[in-house]
Amino acid sequence: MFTTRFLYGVQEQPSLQHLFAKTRAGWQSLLLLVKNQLLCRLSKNYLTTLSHVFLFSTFKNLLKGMSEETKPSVSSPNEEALLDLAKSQPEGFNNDDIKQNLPNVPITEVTGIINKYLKNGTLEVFKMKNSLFYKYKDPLKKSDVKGADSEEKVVYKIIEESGNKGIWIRDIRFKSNLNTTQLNKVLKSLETKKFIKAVKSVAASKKKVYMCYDLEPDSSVTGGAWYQDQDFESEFVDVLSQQCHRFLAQKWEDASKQGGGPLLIRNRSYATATDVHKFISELGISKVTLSIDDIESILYTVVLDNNAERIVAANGSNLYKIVNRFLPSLGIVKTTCGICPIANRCASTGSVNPKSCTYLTDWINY
Amino acid sequence: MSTVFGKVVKLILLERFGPVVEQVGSYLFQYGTNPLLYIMKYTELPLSKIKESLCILIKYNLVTFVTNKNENLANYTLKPDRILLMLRYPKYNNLIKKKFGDESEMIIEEVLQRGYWTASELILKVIERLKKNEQATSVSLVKDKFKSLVVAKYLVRMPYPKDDKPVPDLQIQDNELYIFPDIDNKILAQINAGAESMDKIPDKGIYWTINFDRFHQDMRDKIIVTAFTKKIDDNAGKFVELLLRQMYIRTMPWADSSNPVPILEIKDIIRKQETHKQLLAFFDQYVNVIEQDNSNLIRKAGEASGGSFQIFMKEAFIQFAWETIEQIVLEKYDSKAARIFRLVKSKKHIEPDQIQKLAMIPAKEAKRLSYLLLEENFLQIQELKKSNTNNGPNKTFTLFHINLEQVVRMTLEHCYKTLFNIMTRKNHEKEINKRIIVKKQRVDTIAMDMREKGAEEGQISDIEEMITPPEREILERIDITLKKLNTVELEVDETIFLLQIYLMYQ
Amino acid sequence: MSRGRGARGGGRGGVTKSFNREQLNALGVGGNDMLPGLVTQPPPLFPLLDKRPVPIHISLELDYLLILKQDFIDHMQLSGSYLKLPETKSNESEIVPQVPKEKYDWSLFPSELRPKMMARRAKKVVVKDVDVNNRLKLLETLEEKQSADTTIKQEKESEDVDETEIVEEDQDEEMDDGTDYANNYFDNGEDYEEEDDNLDDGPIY
Repeated sequence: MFTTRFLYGVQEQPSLQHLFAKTRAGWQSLLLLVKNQLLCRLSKNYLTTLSHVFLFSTFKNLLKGMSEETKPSVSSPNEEALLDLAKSQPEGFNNDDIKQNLPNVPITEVTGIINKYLKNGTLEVFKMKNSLFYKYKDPLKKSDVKGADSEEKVVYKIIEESGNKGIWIRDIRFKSNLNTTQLNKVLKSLETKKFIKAVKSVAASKKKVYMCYDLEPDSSVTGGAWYQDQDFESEFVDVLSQQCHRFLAQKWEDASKQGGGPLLIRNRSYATATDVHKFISELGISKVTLSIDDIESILYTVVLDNNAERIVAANGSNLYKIVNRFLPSLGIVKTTCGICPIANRCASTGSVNPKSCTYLTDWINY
Repeated sequence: MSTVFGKVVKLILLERFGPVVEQVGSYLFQYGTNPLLYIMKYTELPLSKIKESLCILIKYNLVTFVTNKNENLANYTLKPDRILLMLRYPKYNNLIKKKFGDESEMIIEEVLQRGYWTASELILKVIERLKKNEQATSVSLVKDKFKSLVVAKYLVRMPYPKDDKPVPDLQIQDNELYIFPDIDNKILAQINAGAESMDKIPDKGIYWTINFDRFHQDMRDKIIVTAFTKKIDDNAGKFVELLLRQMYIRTMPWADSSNPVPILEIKDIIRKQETHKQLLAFFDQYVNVIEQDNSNLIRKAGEASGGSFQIFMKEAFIQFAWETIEQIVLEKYDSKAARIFRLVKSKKHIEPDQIQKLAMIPAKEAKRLSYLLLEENFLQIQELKKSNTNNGPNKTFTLFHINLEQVVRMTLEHCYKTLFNIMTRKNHEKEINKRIIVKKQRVDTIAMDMREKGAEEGQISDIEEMITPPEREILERIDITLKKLNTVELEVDETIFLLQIYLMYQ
Repeated sequence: MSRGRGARGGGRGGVTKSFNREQLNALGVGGNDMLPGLVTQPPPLFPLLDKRPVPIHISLELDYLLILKQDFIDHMQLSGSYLKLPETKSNESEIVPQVPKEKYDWSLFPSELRPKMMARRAKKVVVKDVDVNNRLKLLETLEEKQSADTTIKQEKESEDVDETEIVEEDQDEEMDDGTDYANNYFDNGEDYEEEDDNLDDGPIY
């Protein structure tokens, strides 16, 4: 995102301050671009190094591609051809080579393909004698952290082992025996090289876990259906919980109408998560597909709210039924004193006292 | 005994017995058992007033005494729990009214007002009151009513002195408690007609007083029946009511659980009563539903003679106490907090991370609420240290859990605090409007007086108009305020009762 | 914050005095968003109450309970069991009519609570009361009772002396200004002589 905006700014050799005014948070993006030799520094100003190779529009695509999510790749014949070319040129190839070997492919498509490969790590780009070279990267060697020092290798290995659940920085520290400063440096480097990525865990709002760049984070990290960008969708859960409750209530009501005695009514009031799942799906209130387990979780909140009971059926599945409480509303909560947030401060004397208490006054006059 | 409880006791005494008795009572509350001399020294009240106060408190069974080292002196002890019961008096009255009718209610009312009395005097007094109301009555009718209150153990005979000592040692044998004395209807009728003097009552010195325990038993049962009615339906409530009734035949009233009750007994009663046709028609189904209710309070004890059932009273009040606390959490915080509370309850011990996951509450919110509940002592934490590996760091697990009894005690304290606040506010509202209330009382007294003397309506309304419209408005507002506060006083006592029964079973 | 120190002591078992950034992050204490804004005024004494108490349901039964409650309190306040402080007695006596003092069956109370005159006169009554009990309990041994009566009479006669002695005993144990106290005790006893006149009128059990 930042990178794209940068490039808009880089069309005519802007100054550092100028770039900063546009994208304050972009230091890292800037460094990234420079490092990948897409920008170079000209005294105080920055300038694109690729302008003579690509049109500005393709450039935009390139960068857009870099910030987009990975999509499953289906290779087209042209892509295959390009890949073959890349494999045949272990020392690298440039745009001229492409034009020679793939004369029939329009330039726009070539850029697209190259962008894609650059992104998924099949190709890497470097600069040689003022022209841009691409080089095939052996996927088998991908995990081999090239150009990394031994510390980076150790850390990468630890992270790789953690799979798609990721690993917390503290645990990396313990396993690697690196100190915090060192580790931070290593992690930053690995991140910049796109070997690893940091994923915010839902377990704690500020807790990040590291995992290999290509991996799709586990639902325990993202939180599954209830999370959107690491944010728990509270309202969504509440609505589902209400609907589940409503469904069970309806089920009981229908059974009551049918009659046949309390036992029959009760037995007909039970619902399985599958029943509720069907109902919720038909309602169409959920944008995401919910699993039966998701519905079980929601139903459990209805149980916790003392609105339903859960029993285990003979076949081992859970059955849910609406329940009433035992007690009518309590005397103690019929006055503000019963729900008073500052009861601890209340005394016969002092500024919070029953004689002048505004909660009591409001309640009396209500 | 907490300070706030003492303050409530003080206010109850003040409202009913005035400032002098209150001072004596409060002294005894604070300093425990004490002889007369010390009370005098510390309260600085005139001795005559202290003596009078102690007599009053003893009369209402709010103070007991035992002989001092010196046999001529007594040590006095306050019974604060009994004082708290005074808030419940209207409920005792009403309970008897519903169960036995107006005459019986009057008997109870008179005993509550006096502390204790002889049967004869009570009967005569009730007859007098009934006559005033122009209700037909007779000595034998009221006497029978009285007797049934004794048989049903709502009234109990007072202990009496065995021998004449300066500090009487009041005692009574268990078999004497509910034996109604022989009272000749004729003598009562004669006294009633004015033909004989009051001195001639045949049961002098045999005093009757309220057996609060019996009332509480009824009130406890009512909570259980209402609970089942609310949870299942009227028929289930009826079933439990009958189960409790049959329970008394073979179980001590305050046992933790009843002895098995044959189910057929209950069915027979329902058949005879003919009030619950549905219950009879679906009897077996109801038994099934009640037995299988997730509360598990009524369980099958045996298959013999059509099956017999037990009801678990102690367990019932544990569950009611839980629900009480849950409701308070719900109303005081919100539904999410109540969800967390119930989650911790059902898991016994739970890690903070589990809470957000299972309760489906955003992490931050879950954390905020659980620590709020912790801070307010609804939750407790327990730390578990676990070093599973030699080289790894020691892991500390923080587990949330709930100590119900502790939370109940805290809530009970909060109830007392609420009572204190409500009463204080009530007194305050009266105090700031004292002038106008006194004026109203005076006008009312004069008007009533005039009416009795047969004054014309015009004159009376002249007097009544001395209260100006704005004053009338204020008076109406005070009435509403006081009614609200008095209502809550009664209501909070319900919560107190429930929690006290729970603690009693512990 | 002491990153350096945290890092140095960050090895196994090392004790860090302060949390470093990562640790704080892990604990959920993050960067800037956790810093509270500048507080320029004290929080309100009564924070806004966003919940309402559960409404009270008015019912006939409740109304009746309220009437009973008020009746009982009215009854008590007009009865002899409602004692006012001596000073306020004269101020308000015009509103509240003078109520007769409570009458007691003295056999149920410690004799020290009786007004002096009463105590002496009560002797006979007590005997009578015991007789009633006897009759009801189908006559216990009469002889014992009578012998008991005589001892009581003896006790009663020496009562005053006893009391002084007791008071002094107590003082020795726990009080310093006991002599004054004993005097007070008897002074107040004298006061009772005046009030006894009122009590004479009532029937005595």
